[in-house]
Amino acid sequence: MEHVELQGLSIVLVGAFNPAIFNPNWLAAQSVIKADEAADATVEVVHREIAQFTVGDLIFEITQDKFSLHTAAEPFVKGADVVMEIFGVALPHTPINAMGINYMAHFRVQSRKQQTALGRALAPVEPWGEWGAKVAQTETSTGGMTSLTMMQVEPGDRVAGNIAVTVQPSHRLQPPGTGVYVQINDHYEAGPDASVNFPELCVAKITPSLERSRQIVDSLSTYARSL
Amino acid sequence: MLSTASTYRELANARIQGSSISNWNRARPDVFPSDSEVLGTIVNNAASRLASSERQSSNPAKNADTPSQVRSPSDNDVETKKVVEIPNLFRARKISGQWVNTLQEWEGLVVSLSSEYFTARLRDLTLLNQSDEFAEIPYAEIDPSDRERLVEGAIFHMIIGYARRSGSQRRETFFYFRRYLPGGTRRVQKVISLLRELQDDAD
Repeated sequence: MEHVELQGLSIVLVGAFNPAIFNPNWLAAQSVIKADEAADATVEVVHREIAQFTVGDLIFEITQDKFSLHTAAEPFVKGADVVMEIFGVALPHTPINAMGINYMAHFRVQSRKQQTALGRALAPVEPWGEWGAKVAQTETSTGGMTSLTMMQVEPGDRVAGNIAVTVQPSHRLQPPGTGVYVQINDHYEAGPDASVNFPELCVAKITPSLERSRQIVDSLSTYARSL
Repeated sequence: MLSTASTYRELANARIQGSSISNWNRARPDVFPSDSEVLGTIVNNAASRLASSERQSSNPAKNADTPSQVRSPSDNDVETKKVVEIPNLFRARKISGQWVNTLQEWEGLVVSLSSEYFTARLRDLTLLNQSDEFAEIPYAEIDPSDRERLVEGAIFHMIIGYARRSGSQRRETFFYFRRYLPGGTRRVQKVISLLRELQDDAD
C-alpha cells in the first residue's frame, strides 16, 4: 500500500431508479447525511433522467438504470452504510439486479523502464509477430500495452458475477511513465432465479472486496517494482 | 467454559497458527468475524461479568473491597495480549474533508469495554501483519458521534494514512464505526443485548 498514491472506491447498483428524488436535502431527510452536510453539498444537476451532486467526500450520480457512489476518501466502508441507508431502509423496494464494488488505485513505479517491463510481462510483444517487434523497437517513445483486463468468472462467493481487473499506465501520476493504474470491478448479479438483497450484500461484501482488491494491487505493485 | 484469557489466547494462537491469509480467506471469504468466534469471545465476557455480578451480590462484605479488586475479565488479557506497535497510534484525530492515502487499515471488533478504554481485536486489511492483534483504545480517541455505536460486537475500521490538506501532508489515524453490520454479526449483537438485559436484571 505504501506505493499507492491515489485511490478510490465506487459502488454501482444497476436497476430502476428515479433520479428526480435524489438530492442532498432528501438524503438529510432520510438521515443518510446530516443537515449541515446537505447545506454544504454541491448540486450539479437534479433531473428526472439524471441526478449528480457531491456531499462531503461522496459523489452521487443517479440515472434511471444506475446508482453510483464514488469516493476517494477513506473510510471506504462508509459507502456500504450509505447504500444500506438509502436502499435498505429508505427505499427498500427499489428493484436492483446487479452491483459493483469497484476499487481504483494508482501506484508508483521507479521508472518508465519498470512501467514498460510490467506491460511487457502482462502483454508480451512476441506473439504479435513483426508488428510486435515494431511496437517494442520504437526509438522516440515506448509502445506496448495500454490496457489489459483479466477476469475471474466464477469467484465462488456469489450467486453470479465476476471479478475484472484492468491495468493501464497511469495518466494521473507525474512525471509520465512512473505510475500504473489498476481498477478492480467486483461484480455481483442476482442470477436468473435468485433474489438477492443487494444492500445487505454490499454491507457483507465491502470489506472482503476491498481486502481482495488491495491484495491484487499489492501483488502487481510488488511485481512491478521487482522488474 | 473457558476463561476469557484462554479464549483470547486461543483466538490469537489460532490466527498465528492458522496458515496464510489466503487460506484464511478461502475458509471465510464473506463475513468477518464469524458467528462462532464473536459469540465465543463476547458471550464469555458477558457471562463472566454476569457471574461476577452474581458473586458480588451474594457476598456483600467482599463488595466493600471492590471495584479495584474485582477485575473485569479483560484485565487479565491486557497482560498477555499482543499490542499493535505503532508510534503515536492514537494521538491523531480525524479532521473532516481530508483525503487519506492508506498506509495500513484494520478491521476491528470490540471485544470488551473498560472504564476508560475498550479492547478490540484487529485484523490487518493491508496485509502488513497476518495475525490478529489486540489493542486498547481510549474512548477519547473516538468521535463523539460514534460513541453510541461503541458496544461489544461493534465493528470498526481503523485507518492510518497520510492526510493531505492544502498541499501539506501529515500522518493521521481515523476510526469509523460501521452503522450496519453483516447479518451474522447483527445476530450476535442481539445475543449480547439479551445478556445485558439479564445482567441488568441480576444487578
